[in-house]
Amino acid sequence: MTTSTVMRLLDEQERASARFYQGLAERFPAQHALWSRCASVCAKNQVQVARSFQETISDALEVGYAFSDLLLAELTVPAASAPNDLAGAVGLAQTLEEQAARYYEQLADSAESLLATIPRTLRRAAENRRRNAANIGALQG
Amino acid sequence: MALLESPISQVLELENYIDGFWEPSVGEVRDVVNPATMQPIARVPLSTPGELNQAVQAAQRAFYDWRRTPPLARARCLLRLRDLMEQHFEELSRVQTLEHGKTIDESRGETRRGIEMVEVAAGIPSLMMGRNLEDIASGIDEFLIRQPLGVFGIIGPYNFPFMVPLWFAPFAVATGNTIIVKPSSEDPISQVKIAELAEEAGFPDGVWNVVHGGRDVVGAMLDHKDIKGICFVGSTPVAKEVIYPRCGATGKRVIAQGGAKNFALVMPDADLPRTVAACMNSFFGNAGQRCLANANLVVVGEGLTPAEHQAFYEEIARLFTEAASNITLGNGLDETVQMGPLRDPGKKQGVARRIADAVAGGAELLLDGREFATVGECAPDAFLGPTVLGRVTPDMAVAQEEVFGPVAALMMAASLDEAIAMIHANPFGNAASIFTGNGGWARKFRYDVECGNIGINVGIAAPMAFFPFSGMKDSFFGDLHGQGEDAIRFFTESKVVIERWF
Repeated sequence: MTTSTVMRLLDEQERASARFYQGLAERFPAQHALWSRCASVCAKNQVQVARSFQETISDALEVGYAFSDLLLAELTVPAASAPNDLAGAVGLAQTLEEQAARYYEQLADSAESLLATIPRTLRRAAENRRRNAANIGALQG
Repeated sequence: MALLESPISQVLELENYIDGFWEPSVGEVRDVVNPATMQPIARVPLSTPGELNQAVQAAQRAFYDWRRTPPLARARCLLRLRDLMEQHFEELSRVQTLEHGKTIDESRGETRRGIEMVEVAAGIPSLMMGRNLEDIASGIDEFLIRQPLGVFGIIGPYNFPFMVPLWFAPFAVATGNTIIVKPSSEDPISQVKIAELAEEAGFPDGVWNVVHGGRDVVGAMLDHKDIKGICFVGSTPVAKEVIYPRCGATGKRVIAQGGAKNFALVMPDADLPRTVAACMNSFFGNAGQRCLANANLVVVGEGLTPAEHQAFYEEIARLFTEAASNITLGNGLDETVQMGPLRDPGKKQGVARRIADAVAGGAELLLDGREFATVGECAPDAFLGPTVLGRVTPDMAVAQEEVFGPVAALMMAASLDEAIAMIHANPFGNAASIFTGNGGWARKFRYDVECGNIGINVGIAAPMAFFPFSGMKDSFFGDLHGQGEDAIRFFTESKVVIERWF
């Protein structure tokens, strides 16, 4: 799997996640600030990861081979229509965040030492998604 | 996966860029063919010596004002060019994939490298500063001033059509010189795009010129009395027997970079998964058409018994061959593809002949790239898969000569000393890598090996823009290298002023 393929997937996932949270912000106005913040984190991740790739890519990096053992299908976008109940939305969002964080960490491990600054950006993105998960978890009291 | 959109929608009619204008050539015209599809994407002229002379005269005229332009103003032109290259990053990258065949990620990497050259050269107000010392004798001061020389010729290769001319061009114009770029006639489009951006960036007419062509134009550049220096990257026979001696005969400065046969040493303590990943890029990246590509993988048995060494070799051969066999071939505009075609079918046939010769000479064929499959629709004419040859010995031609294709030769050496001796017995000296966790072995390798670019756990030892792109032995002919401080010195004359006031 090439780095471009991974980057394109991450770009799509972060955009989709941001849209998902924007949808939740509209559906649950009482938690608007939290969902909007989650959407903002996803949007920032998308920019940071894309920028890191753009600024780091070089003919000498192992861009074609750093992710050879990974499977694309492990990160899935949640259904476009979020649940109507808050508990269901929280559960789905937490699952999404944990899954995204794990996938970022897996990518970072795979690219470690091979893609210069990109693994560090991936780890930061994972931390951001874990922070989202913690903030969402606080809703459950 | 679907192909990325092509930035070239119709066959381009390429022209020379002389004195700020795009001029058609009267020379013979050739097709530029996308090797992944074998479809023509442009027509390039083989210009005449007369047209080259027009460009030299224009560059010579432009030099008078350009060298008097403050370095900061010259830097601003470069910074505008840099911004435009960023804006056109994806277009420039896709053009390279179309004209050369390399994958889009390889092209993006090449574009990034090219931009880095412009960024570093934009630091010219600091880079070009001279130095001085007061009181070299009582009341007498001495100054060193760096001054540009005039017109430089830059002759680009086909394997990195965008990046390689940029090892030189930004530094040449930043120091106040003017240039004539002769791109490879096989893939000249990206140099046309750069010239278009240079024009938009505001370089004055005649500072940045492009003349397409072949041997006639190269010969005219070498013989022209008003060209002060030549930067060339290509094959060793041309660098050694044509460029270097003719520059000497006509009093030109010269950077002539030739071919390579690079060794990668794998020590018993190497991190094998990362070593193999790095080797895939190093041996097969750019379809092996890279002067920094490793070609000979030497499994070193330092500290091992013969039986352990044999087992270590077998393990590496297995991992390497398995990884190489998983490489996906196809059109480089498909982002999932890991390797594109060779530049043209003739080059493929040449590499295939070398594979056949190696096997006939006793090499073990672990993976035969002559049998391959591509993803998506491609014309197979120029494609060749990764080839892995086992049990290669240093006396075999495939271990000694540059193949310039996706062919890896696996060899054994009982000790680090023996492996280094293999490197030294080879006439080339461009690059070499060692994969190890042992600092002592790494230092010995770095210290002893006669190669210009050394990789320690790095498969492609490609120097950054602020370091010289080195090379030794039959891989380099000249004194100063391209990039970095070497380039500043190459493109300037050192003038010394000794001053006393009565």
